[in-house]
Amino acid sequence: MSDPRTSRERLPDTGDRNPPPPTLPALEVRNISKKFGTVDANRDISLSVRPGEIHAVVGENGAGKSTLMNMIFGRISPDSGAILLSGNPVCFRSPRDAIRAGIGMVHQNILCFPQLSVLENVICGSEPSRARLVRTTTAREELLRLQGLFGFHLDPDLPVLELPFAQRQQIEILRALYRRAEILILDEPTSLLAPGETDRLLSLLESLRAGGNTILFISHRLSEVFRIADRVTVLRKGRALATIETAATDPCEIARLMVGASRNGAREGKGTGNAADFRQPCNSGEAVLEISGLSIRAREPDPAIRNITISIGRGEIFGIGGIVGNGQRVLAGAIAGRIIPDEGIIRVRGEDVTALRIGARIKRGIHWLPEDLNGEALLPDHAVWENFLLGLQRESPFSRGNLLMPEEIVRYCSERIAENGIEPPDPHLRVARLSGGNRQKVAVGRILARKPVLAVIEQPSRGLDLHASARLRERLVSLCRAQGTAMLVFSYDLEELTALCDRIAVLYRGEVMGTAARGDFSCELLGRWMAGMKEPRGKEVHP
Amino acid sequence: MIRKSRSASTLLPAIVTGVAVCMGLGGLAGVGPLDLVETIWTGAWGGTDAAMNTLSKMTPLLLTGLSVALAYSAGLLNIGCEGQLTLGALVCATVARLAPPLPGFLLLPLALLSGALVGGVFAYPAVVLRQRRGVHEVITTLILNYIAIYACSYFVSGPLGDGTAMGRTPLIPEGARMAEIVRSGSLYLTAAPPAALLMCFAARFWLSRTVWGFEARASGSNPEAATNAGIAASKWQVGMFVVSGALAGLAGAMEVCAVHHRFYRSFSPGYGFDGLTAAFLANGAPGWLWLSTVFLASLRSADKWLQIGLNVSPNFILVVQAVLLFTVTCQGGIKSCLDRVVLRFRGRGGGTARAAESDRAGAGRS
Repeated sequence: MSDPRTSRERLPDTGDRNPPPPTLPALEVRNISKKFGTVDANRDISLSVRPGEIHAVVGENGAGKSTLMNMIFGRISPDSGAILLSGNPVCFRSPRDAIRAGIGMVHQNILCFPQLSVLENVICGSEPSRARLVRTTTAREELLRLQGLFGFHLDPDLPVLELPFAQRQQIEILRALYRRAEILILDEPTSLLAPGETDRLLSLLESLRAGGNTILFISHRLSEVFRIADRVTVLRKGRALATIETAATDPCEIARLMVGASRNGAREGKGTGNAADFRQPCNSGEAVLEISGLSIRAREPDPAIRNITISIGRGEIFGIGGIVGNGQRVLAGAIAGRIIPDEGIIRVRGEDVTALRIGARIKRGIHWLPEDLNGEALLPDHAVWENFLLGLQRESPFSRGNLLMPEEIVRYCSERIAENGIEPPDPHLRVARLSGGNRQKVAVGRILARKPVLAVIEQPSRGLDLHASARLRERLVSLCRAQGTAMLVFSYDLEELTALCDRIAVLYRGEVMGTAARGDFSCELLGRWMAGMKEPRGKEVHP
Repeated sequence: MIRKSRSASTLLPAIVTGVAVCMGLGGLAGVGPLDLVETIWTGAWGGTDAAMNTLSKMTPLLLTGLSVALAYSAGLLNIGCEGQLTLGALVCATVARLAPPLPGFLLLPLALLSGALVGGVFAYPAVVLRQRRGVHEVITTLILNYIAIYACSYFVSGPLGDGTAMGRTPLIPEGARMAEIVRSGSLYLTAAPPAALLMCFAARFWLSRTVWGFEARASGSNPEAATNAGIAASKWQVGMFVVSGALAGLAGAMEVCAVHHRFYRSFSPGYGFDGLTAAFLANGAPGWLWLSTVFLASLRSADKWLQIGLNVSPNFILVVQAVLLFTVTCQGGIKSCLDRVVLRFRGRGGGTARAAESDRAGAGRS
């Protein structure tokens, strides 16, 4: 705290700075602390949310945002401190208590029942009933009405199992809104939404505020925070640093507070500029990945992809954009070897890999980061070192013969932890104990450390904070330029793609709408392709 | 050591709670808490004979426990040990008897391996059904138990029996019996218990320190992620499940070769199901199976002393076993309950009363 800029008037409770609000705070957190093992997730955090405001909470990965929200929602209990609703101290033993008290939450880790239908998932916990029998007629109407507000198109009777992973986030949002919670907590609700959906969600939050609801909003996208939030609280390393009116600050100041004074200057700005400055044009003729005429029939729940032809050169970063569920996952799975295509050829460095299994492709340097980390990429119940070992276990020096070499593995893991800035830096911690962003760092770090020939990366910066995602982009770019890695990046976030990629293609209903090179692409053009419009006049394409 | 133990802090409170509940139940049955412990102790370990009896009971428990633990480490539950054990025992006894005359050092391994093999083969359909058709292995192995037990019962009363009405096979030849290493009166001990113990520690080492063990555990923990990392997860699951069945079959074969020297109807007094208890008391860790089996074997060999010494039904032992299994399975919940009680006693009494009040207020509002 030697820097006067951060210590000045920031640390004391906001009550000293602002005149006491006329009404009691809708939600107040007093001196709350929580430890996980030896890790201080929250240290003496105080926070007060006025009724009818949108209050943003921002911070780096592992700053303790999710922990704080989970304590307010009763999922975990604080070690010390108090939570007050409208001035009354409450002690939630479970989320059920919190829901009864009028709190709703949209979780970062999507929580739903895969076997139940969309409708059942939404009404679960507050089922409308008459004479102990669930009545779904009104609930169905309400669900359709809510979907209409966002332009979501979920079939109420479809089992969630059959929904693409990314659409499950919509269920979380619908559920919280369906319950008409007075206080709504949203933990990164937009990480898997398409830009249009995000827009509508933000507008809806504004109208909820106008209706008197109180909203706690976590996001790494400061543009969203500054668009809707009245006040913003910055967390760093488990402490509440400051609560500031958004009108009285700007994104740069918040970004600086988030990362700390020591890194001042180096990481400020929008975070997207860094990677762009970093690049030189990619000028290699040698194609690493050549896909020609790739088609895969639709298999529930996956959509079909049709006649995809892409060629990616050495050191090139190729982005695939599109709205959730337009075949991106199928394409990624086919390149990684998870799905064997019905038609078409995939060549890597001239070799036909179409029929190769995933293990054989990994041996040829084709590495894949799937979208659903906990389900498809990580071993959440295992230690960080075991997650870094996964896939390397048969290689020297990590094993000799059939024996694992623990010292080598832990040393390698510690290097990766340092390289990726994983907090807390403990190779023996279970991955389930890490925050969402740090899990992402484990999964991405594992792939990048292997110097892939071809990297297929879905949602590279999901859950990463500004600083971490800017750093990751720099690494991706330098990896491609220095090692000659060809990279295929799938993202629902257009800004991310435009900041990172040399070329971008957009998938719409399983077909490539168009490909644009750096300099030619604009968010407007890509957005039009994502909506299925090829011509600027707005003619819809019917494949 | 690269594996950090995180189980002791939750396991211990669970066991202490379980023991306390058992003592309370004993009190209801008119037994003083210390009398109960003392009777079990002297019944199981009070004297050479008792100790040898207990030790010989450990062999099948160690092996079935290991069977369950290995399947569990690959993410599967093998409830079929009872059937695999029975089948292994019958096949072992039959092979030992019908095999051409061989020297002992060949006949004994042949008999044991045949038992293990049939156990593994019998487990195979369950795991294949799981992977191809999604039939849960708990259901299939449970049902296969009854097929095995009744089929064995038929064979031993008919074609494979010794012709008496006793429902048993003839004795196996001397060459197929395991050698005694300790004898006291009519009781003797073979190399079977130490061999089983050795296998548990070998399995522990294999799981935690070898490439294959790591791949097997990864396949159990998250098959999808393991597959995506290039590991043949479904092959590992099939393999581990077959090995699990083989270990249960071996447990039956060892019982034949080391203890009974023949197969008879109702061969297993529930060793297969006790294997489940043993594995879960040990938290699925093969390295701790010795402790849970010592415990279970002690209970098992002390049960008749409850009747003799305390005039309590031997079935009380089953209650004790069930209570402990329950508390250990719920160890996480018990730990957090105890934590909450401790917190409350640290002077937050006033706060919780207020909290409960506002809780009600909150409920009324919604």
